[in-house]
Amino acid sequence: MKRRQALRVLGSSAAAAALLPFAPSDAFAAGRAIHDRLQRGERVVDGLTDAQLALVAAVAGTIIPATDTPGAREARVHEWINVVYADWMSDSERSVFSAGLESLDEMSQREHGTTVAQLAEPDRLALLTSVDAMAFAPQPYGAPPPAFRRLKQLVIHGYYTSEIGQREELKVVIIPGRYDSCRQMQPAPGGGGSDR
Amino acid sequence: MRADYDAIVIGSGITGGWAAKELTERGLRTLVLEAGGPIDPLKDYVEHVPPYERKFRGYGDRKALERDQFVQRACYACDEYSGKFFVNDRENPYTTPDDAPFDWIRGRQVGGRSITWGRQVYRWSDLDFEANLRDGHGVDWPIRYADIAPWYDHVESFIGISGEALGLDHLPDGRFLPGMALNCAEERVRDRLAPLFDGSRIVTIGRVAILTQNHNGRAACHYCGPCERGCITRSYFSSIGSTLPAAEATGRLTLRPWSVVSEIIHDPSSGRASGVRVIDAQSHETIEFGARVVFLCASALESARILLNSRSAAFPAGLANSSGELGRNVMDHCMGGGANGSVDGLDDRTTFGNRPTGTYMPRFRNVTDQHPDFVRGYAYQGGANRSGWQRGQWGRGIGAELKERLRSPGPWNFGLYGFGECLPHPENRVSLDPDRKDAWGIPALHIDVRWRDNERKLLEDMSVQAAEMLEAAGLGNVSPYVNDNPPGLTIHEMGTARMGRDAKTSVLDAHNAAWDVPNLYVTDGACMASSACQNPSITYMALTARAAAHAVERMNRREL
Repeated sequence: MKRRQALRVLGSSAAAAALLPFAPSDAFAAGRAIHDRLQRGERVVDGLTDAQLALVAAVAGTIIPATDTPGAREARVHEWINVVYADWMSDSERSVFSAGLESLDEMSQREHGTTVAQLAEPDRLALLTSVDAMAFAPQPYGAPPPAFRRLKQLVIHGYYTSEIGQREELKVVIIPGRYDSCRQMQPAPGGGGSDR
Repeated sequence: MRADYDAIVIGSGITGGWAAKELTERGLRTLVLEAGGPIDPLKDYVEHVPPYERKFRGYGDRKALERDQFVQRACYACDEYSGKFFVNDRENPYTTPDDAPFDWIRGRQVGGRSITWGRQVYRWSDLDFEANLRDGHGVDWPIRYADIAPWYDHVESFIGISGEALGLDHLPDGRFLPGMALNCAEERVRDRLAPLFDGSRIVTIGRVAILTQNHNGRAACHYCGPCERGCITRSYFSSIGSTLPAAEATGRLTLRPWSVVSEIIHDPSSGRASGVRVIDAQSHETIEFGARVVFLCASALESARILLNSRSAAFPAGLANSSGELGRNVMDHCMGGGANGSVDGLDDRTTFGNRPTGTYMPRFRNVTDQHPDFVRGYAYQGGANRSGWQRGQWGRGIGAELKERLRSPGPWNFGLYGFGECLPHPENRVSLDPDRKDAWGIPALHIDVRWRDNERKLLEDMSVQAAEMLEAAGLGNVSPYVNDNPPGLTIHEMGTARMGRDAKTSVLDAHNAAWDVPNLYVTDGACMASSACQNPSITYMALTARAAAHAVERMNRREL
């Protein structure tokens, strides 16, 4: 845990700024380490833990399940959420997001005696249906938005912008070649929505 | 100073490209100087790149934006795809008073902002050219519609404009290619409004510089959608897809990217501009180029900055500034009053393809009568669509039910979004900041521009009228709003070196030549004496072509 925190300090809020307290030689070594990590295709900032990733993957798969097309788990939405978590969110957003994940597991432990990732699919659907209902119920004035909203937002955005989401679910036509201004609806996936 | 070229054009965007085309086609050896680098459409245009090939899939590289493009990111087009077509704000600083924010959105590359522009094209009429004279704001335009009409024809027939002819005196028709289609919800709103409000509230398709059929060697639009990411088929007008290739074809064009013009050199003995001083953007080396005529097309605020920075004993307050009007009268359209509502009864209808324009409603205020509370007017852009999967993010529902529901589009929604005329006010001005400099050591601008009473009243009226119309047209859930957009964000900034009828009250004459420096032409938005409410680029293009013809006539008569 301590090691993780140290790495997070190093990586968060711009690596360069975090390097300043180091002696010059240490800073050089730390800088080299960052470059090495980047070169290996790893991120500078630590992402979600394996347990958190498993939790996000399970939640994503329940929000957008595989049906006649693959779902969010197959589209590896959790991996994109990890990118957003590590490289896009601010430090405070990251801690709100992590706390939200933690509270999901706590609720799961309380009600089913196991983690969200370990739940049977019907139990996870039941749990998340009630979490979703609470998250989108009217909130007290001035209260911060429930953490689940952001997780759900990321799952949906991540799914429909994934290769599976675009090609298999939405069947996006990148070059339509024409504009139909008033088309009789086909019962086809994607409808009139556009990714753009 | 030796004339290396017949003409120098500063800027390669919408107006620089037109100056280059017209001057080279009339036989002038022309040097075009562009502050930014070249772009390669094959590599840099990304309109067909799917979201999963972008790291943040449309969220934008937030940390890079916060660090490098903290101003530019206010523009919708400065995103993960097109951010490279906007400047780095750390290299290109400017200052404002604390209580007067201004968003200065800039593009420095060959093509300038013609790569990312909104492509809306509307002619002015004498309602606009006579406005200053009629109500006393600003100075009278030295030209009328009859002076510019043939030049609108000239530029429109070359670049290709699609739209619907309406026969309105105050929004003249152009040489239109077939207009894109209104969708069924838009047709419904159009038809319901037609008999109301004395027929003054017209819904038409946006007039756009986008081809609906092949034209001048460029291909018709294929409806992919995000024009601001570039267009490999050159279906919308950009200088690099249209005017610059025409200039190049003459064999008389020299294009020099990475050329930051710091000042225009004035020769006090001849009273003319003899050339320009350039800082190479990459090497920071200073270079001078001479020419017989100089066209300043760097964009309204950049052009003012270059002139203000061109100080000499003859012009201590900036070149061509004997009137003291240089840098004053900055305008930008006030945008953001509007309303939205839902359209019922068309649930079995949808659209296919991404139409790259919306609807337009021409100005109806102060056209035939006079409103008691404000002068001038506004027009609306807008349109109807059905929401897609995105709506799943904002409401309740999970699982197979949600996934199935998002396969059908959401409700039809129609919106009107106003663009209002801004009055020329002498205290809306730019000046050189005494301390800040850009990455090339050139003084930064201090921008002090504020919405004033008339603009605020227009914004309010836009919102109220939009809501009244949508109610009258029978839309549901009508919600009016007024967005508090800072000046600059409409990216229609103009007016810093206005045209006029005399040298005491204006910077430029009726042909865009500086009163004080006869071989210096300024043809970008700086030249505007008023703003009307129409999107301005086509007027800049027409004025540029007209000025180029004038310059060459004078050169041929040995007057220059």
